[in-house]
Amino acid sequence: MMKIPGFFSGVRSYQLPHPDVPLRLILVTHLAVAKAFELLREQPPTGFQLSAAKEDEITRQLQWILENRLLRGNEVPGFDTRRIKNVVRAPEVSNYNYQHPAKKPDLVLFLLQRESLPLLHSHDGLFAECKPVDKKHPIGQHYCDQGIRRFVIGDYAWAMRDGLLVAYVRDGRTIEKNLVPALKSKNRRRPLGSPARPTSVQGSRSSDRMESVHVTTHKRSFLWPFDFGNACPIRIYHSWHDCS
Amino acid sequence: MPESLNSHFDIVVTNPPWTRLRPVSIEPDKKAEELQHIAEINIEFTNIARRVLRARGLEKVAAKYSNPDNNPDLPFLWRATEWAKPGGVIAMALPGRIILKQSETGKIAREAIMRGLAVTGILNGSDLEKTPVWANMDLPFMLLFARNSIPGSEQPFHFATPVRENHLSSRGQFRLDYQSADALTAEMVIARPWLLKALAVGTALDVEVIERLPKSTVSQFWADNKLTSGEGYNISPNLKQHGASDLFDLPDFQLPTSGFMVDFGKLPEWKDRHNRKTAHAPRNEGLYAPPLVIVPQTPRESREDPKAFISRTTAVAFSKSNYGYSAGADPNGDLFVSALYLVLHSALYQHHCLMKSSRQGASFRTILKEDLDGFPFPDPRELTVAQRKQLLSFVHALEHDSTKPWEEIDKFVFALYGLTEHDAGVVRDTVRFCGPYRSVRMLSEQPIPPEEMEIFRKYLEDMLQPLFLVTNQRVAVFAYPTLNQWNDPWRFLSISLVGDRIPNMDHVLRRLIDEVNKTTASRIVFHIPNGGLILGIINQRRFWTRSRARLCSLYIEQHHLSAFPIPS
Repeated sequence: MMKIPGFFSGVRSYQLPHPDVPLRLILVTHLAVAKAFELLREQPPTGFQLSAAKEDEITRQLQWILENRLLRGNEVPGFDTRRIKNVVRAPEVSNYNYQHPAKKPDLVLFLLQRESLPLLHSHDGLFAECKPVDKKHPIGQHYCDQGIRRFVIGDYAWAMRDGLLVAYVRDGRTIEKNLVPALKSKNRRRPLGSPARPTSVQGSRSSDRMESVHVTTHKRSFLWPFDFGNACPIRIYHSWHDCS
Repeated sequence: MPESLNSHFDIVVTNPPWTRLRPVSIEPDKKAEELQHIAEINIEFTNIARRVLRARGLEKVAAKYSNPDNNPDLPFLWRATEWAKPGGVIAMALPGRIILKQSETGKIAREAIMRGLAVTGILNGSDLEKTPVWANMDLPFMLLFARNSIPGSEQPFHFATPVRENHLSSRGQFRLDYQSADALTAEMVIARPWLLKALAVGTALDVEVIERLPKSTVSQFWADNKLTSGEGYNISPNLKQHGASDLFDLPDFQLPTSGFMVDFGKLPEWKDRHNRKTAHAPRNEGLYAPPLVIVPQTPRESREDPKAFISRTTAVAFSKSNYGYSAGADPNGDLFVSALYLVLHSALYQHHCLMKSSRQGASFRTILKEDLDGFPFPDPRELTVAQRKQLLSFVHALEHDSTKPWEEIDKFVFALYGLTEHDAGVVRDTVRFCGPYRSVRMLSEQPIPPEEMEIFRKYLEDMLQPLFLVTNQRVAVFAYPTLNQWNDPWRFLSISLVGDRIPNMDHVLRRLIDEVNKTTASRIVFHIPNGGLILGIINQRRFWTRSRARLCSLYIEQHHLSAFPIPS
């Protein structure tokens, strides 16, 4: 009955890219982030004001709510510890070629060990960058060059096919009015992996405080380590939330 | 084997001797002589390993390596690396203790293997001892496969544990479900010395539970508070003796035939029971000072049996068949021993032993002190007043009530240790279906009763549902009717969007069963042509727990959600 191949040959060191993060889980995460913002608006911690808070303060509060309240309660169905191990702020991870061992994505949702798959567990998760999008933070310079670009050059989520960008939106910025032209601009198009126009994800919800999740696909030009060849494109999901 | 044959072989396959070297003489002088000789042999055993490790540039690993317990098997493994060509194949039948041991020497030996040899696979037969799978093999065993080279730090290997099924193993067969095999790396095994044991008994979910537990342990707590713990006195009249005057007047603990209480006043005094003045290891009198928890090494099978005993006011002697934890040196001693006594009666502690003990679930039915010492133990002084009150009431109920509040105790302990209801479910399932006892095995092999199938069905549906509600869809999980009159080897569930009709699949499923039985799988998932999934699972209770439902959901989420398109 023993028909297992591989006891003599071992397992390929790991598989790249890692399997997709299920789209439905990304949509649930979008709702969890929206719920966290709702709590920050309606029950802010002492001394915290969402409309005036700086990027780091918002990220810190966001992580705390996601990790300590939403992941451990039943407020956002599906967002729980049965499938998400934890939500970590700024964990140190290496870039794609291990030359930079201490890259720090803003948030990572580490997924529960996915059965039987030889994965790089420290690189298996939904990696998120969080960026303000407002008058003081031009979308091209901040959201694109310091956000999207980090996924494209393999600083973060280099083993994954999916990444998340959370926008802290003020001053009426929108994906249609601001992100679309920024991605189209001539001097950014290539560095950002030649993305197509953002499209709204089927089934994604929106409200007056958040847009529906949009997705763009970006080519990546680096080589994966250990002869895995060219990195595959990455899908970046855009989760925009009103912070005014 | 002469050195001239070193690096000579493409493949080395061995089944070396496993039996620990022990003296056979009873006469003290001869025994001492044999012990000396064995010690010299063991130094040679250690030198073989160190020589190989140093040749591989692993100086630090070599320096701390010591051949464990005079065992002769590992020297053969290290010699095999000298016999095989670089990159050659080594395959060995070895005792399961190599992957199970949690003693310091055992951990270091395992680390040396993981760092010094490119392990490619381990078939863990620790659940198959005493079966015709390996006739006359009474010990847990494993088959180790390796390449004769130094492993990459992130190079995974297969780790697979056949599930024991009596109807198969009685015919010398076993099921090896490749879907339940794990890909592990040497680094993972070194960082978590208990990992192989945990996966041998449980699943990845059990590993998650262990990692969520508090990091402080019983031994750290006892040491930090300068309390005493240890194995009881050892008389061993043939070994060197010491005065045992501290023990003379103490009541001598004996396991009661029934109940959770011991009337220490009625126990015979040590001097009367043993009629002697010396012992080989009488131990420090502080070990016997009250308040004190006495933990028999053999925990007994049933949950209804006591796992420990408290002496609050009487100093009590106990033999080496027991471990003791005295908190007499601290004013909060009563609280400490009460907390320890309670947690040792919890399902969480049973789970801990199954996951980490090198003995529980692996041939033996006893526990080691290292198992107790390594159990997480939050500081009882940090309990709220209400929690302390509850803790003491549970201890009282354990000692005095005929019906013990097991469920409430478990809930209290789970909460104390910061576990969620889902974690608790994993613990309960593992304790119920993965224990090392025949009664547990029999239970876990039974066909799934309808009510348990319904629990599984509902858990799976509840876990999947939010992923569908997020897109304004609903999923429905139904038990597929049985294909035969009774005892189908497989049972099936359908998973579909509410409103979709599942076609009659009887014919397909019958053919499918024939096919999957050839693969030794324990679970199959396939897509229904016009939408939806059929999930098939072997008709045994152990595969139909809440934990398994959760694993099924994760598997479906990862691999099969394409069966349910998101509407535009």
